[in-house]
Amino acid sequence: MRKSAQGSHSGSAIGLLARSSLQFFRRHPAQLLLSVLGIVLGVGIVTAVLITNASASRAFALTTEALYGRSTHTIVAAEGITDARYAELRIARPDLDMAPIIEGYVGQGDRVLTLIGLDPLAESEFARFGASADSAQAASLSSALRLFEDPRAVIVAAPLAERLQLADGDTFTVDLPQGQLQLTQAGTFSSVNSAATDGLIVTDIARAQSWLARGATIDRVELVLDDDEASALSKSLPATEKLVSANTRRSTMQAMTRGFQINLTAMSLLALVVGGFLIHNSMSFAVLQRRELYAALRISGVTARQVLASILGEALAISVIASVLGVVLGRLIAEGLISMTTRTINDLYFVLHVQELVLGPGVVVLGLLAGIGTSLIAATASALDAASTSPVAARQRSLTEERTRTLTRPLAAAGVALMCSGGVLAWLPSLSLLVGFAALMLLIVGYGLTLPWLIHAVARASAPLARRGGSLSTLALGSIERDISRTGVAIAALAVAVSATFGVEVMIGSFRSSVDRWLGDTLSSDIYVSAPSIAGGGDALLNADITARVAQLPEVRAVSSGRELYVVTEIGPLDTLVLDPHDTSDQSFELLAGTPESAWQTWLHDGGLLISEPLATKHGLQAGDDLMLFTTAEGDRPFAIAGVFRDYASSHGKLMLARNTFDDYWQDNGISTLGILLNDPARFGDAATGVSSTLRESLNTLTDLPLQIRSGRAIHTESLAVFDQTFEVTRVLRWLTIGVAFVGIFSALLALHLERAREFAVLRASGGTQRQITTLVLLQSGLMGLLAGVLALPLGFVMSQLLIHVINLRSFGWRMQGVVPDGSVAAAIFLALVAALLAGLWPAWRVNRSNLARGLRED
Amino acid sequence: MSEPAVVVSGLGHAYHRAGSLQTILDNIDLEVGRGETLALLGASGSGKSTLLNVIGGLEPVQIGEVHVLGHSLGALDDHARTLLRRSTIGFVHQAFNLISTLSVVDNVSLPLALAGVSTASRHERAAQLLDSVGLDGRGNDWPDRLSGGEQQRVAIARALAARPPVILADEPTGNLDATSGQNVMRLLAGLVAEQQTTLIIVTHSLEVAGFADRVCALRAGVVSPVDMQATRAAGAW
Repeated sequence: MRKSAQGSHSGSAIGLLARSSLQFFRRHPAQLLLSVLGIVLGVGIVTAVLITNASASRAFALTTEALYGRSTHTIVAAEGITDARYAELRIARPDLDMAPIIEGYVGQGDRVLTLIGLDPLAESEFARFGASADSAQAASLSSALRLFEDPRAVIVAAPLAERLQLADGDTFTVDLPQGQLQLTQAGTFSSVNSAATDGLIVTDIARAQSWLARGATIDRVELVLDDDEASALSKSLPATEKLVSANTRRSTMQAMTRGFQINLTAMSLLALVVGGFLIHNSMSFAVLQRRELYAALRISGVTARQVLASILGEALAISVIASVLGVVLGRLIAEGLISMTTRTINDLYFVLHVQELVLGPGVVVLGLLAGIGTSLIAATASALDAASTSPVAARQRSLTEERTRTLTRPLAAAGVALMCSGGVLAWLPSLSLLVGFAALMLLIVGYGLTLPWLIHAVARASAPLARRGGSLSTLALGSIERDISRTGVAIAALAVAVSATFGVEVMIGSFRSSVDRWLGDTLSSDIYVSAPSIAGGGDALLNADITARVAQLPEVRAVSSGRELYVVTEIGPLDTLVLDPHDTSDQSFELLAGTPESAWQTWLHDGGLLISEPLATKHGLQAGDDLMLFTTAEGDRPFAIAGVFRDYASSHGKLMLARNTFDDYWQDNGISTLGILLNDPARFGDAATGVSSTLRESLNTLTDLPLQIRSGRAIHTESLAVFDQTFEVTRVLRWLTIGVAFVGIFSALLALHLERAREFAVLRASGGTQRQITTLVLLQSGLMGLLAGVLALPLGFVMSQLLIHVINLRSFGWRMQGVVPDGSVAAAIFLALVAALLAGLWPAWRVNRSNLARGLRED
Repeated sequence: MSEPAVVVSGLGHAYHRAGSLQTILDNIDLEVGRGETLALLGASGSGKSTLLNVIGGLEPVQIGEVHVLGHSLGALDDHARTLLRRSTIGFVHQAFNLISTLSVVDNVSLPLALAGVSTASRHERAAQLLDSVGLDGRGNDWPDRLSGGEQQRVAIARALAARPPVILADEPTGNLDATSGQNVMRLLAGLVAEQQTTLIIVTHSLEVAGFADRVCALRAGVVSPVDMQATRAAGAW
């Protein structure tokens, strides 16, 4: 009975406190709005990245499902499987469901479409494109394929046909390696989930072989097998063929984008950490401004626990509303991010079509948890402080400031301890990205805790300088130090935000500079020649005799030739470059492990392998180890790793074989690229393409194929453009983080200056002009921005080193040299300064517009 | 005879409240001589604080004229009024209005800082004033650690810092107990007498009014002289 009465009293007290909170925000709507906005933006960014990653993963899963259908295994061979061999397999095992597949890419305007060649008669058991084996879709697909009478007929995924505004019988043009081709839409197909098949066109396998210049070869044979059948078949295959589980291929492809997606998530979490500081900022202001009110309530009998519950309840209510809005905003931001992300995945990994955004319950719950959790953690510190402060002390502002100043020291000590823990975590020899992120977060939070002490120390140290600037600068700087409970949090929030942008800028700049240097080294030839290809794929080859013919041209000093292909290895299929080097090719590869000269010689003459740095890092491989490759001649065969070379072209790793080694174990004399050294590079270059028309003509007479001829310099420039495009999404996220920071500093300064309305009124009553007050407000804002900018640099720099040497190394496997881009230090300080000044404009205007007499009367 | 320090003639003032215009002052006439102490009595809401704010240039003159040391406030914009206030007027408020995050000495020297006086000079002046209000050695304290009486003495020191010829005090003892109020008033009256400063005190306390050379009342928008003896005899204002 007693308990229930107590409970009811407690409930009514909480109700009163809630009404008081509501009234406070009714009087300060801008502050409420900015608190909400800070959370909305933070949650919005995190949710947008979660949606983007989930959508890309879903599209990937659907596409894989569409392409592989029910197939459980695939037979692959080093150089593809000939039609004859496929026929042999079918005759030998008529009991097995098997289907031949060719997969390639064709251009269509600025899109890349996936062209699938299949045998309609073999398809019925595979339920490809999301259709079940006995469904109407499968039937219509089969019948459509059987009805091909037009030699250029294809069936088109329904969403693609809709986007291209095609009806059956309409024609459209695609880009193929050998030129353009007009195709006819013979029909469309749709699947249960239309996103699964978006961007696909399907045709008969024989036509696909012709269009993709594959000769009488298919890419793979797909099968539906149980474990016993798979085991038996595997044993019966010759050494030159391999039975691969479909899951292996799927997981290899998924692993490719994992690092990229984790990096995006890291950026979004960084935004949330910045958002967390800002939420803490908003919440602590809202609480600090009501310390006297809480004191009055405590005097009237409200318990500390009730004050705590009231503040946390308020934070919960605000964060729930803001987080829901944040999830909605995230969905909108994701619309923009997805196209950038897809473009990056297409540039770097494989062709992916994302048709719909995934806003599943998991994403919503994670977004809400991020916003509500961060807000509650941020509010807890302020709530505990307000609840634990004695009612008498709470009414003395100077005591609050003194307490805060006293607290800065132990806080800084705790911060240093956190940073040291982060350092130890980062230093641990682990490949775990999670550990890397934990180190990054510890560093940020630790530094954030040391900032109030640093601000206090720097402000104190700068006091003599400020005195030289006159009374106003003394007042402005003095109030930063004196109002440390308010200014400390605001400056820390801005500093963390600016440090994040500076750190990412240094990371991108270092990466760009490393790639730039690497491109300069790698592109050691003057001119590169290749058969035409389309974006995202293309497998056109040059004739084997072209190297000798090019070498005979009078302009040419030396020629290297390269063949790019996939080689199946014990760790999955890997990008491989088969190189027949010219005399300066060794300068193209920066060898990171092994003795450079002997490694190159071993590779060139003794059948060794060179592997790229990401491959070595991710699989723990090093010079001297063996790697099993699947060869045509002997099946699985170990190759010794002679060295590790720097390579930024592929994050999932690359192999390099010497041509003579390759010829010993594989039968493929195709050439993908030629690297040409000219006798007189200056004479044969031209400003636009780097290749003179005379030389272009000479080269084109050597083959019927329209060759792609580009100078090393042009490729260098284009590659950097692709690099910049790849990091577009990171830059966008960086700007969004700055947006969050701006809202935070704006809200902090607004709250700070509005709280000081009475102080400004006293200044005005004591003879301060409007201009002086404006100057004071802007000076203080500017000084806060300057402090934030300067204090952001050490954290930003250390953050960049962690991103470069821990996060990127663990995500992508490549090392790079840390470089602080020109102007980035000044830009960071300028950014903080401008953000703070802009944020100070409105408060300055508001202060001067407010009624002086009322300002002197009001608390 | 020298020109009065403050001349108010035909002053009217109104506020927009809840969508309607509410008249606070209506056709007020008042003169305060140089060096004179005037107490302005009035009930709460009678407009006495508004009158003080208009004389101090904190609010613009809406109707009529206000002259302070010969300067017509109606002809001055906010900036000019501020500069005039800086050089000629000191304020003492009921709620002290000290800046809690500035030390006592910084609070006192605030008007001098705004006037661009050097740090050394203003600290010297502040120390002198703190000595004269009995707070010698308390310059480095925080204002909110002082008693109410001490805080008001700091506010008086601040009002006198720039040696203004006019001091406006709005209920200077309103937040103090009787003894502290008496002490503060004695101090204020003594200092203004010593410096030949004009003092206008707005109050509803007869004790405070007792320190004035002349007492007026503001009732229903009209200023009229008060016979202190008769009022005291009646027992209340």
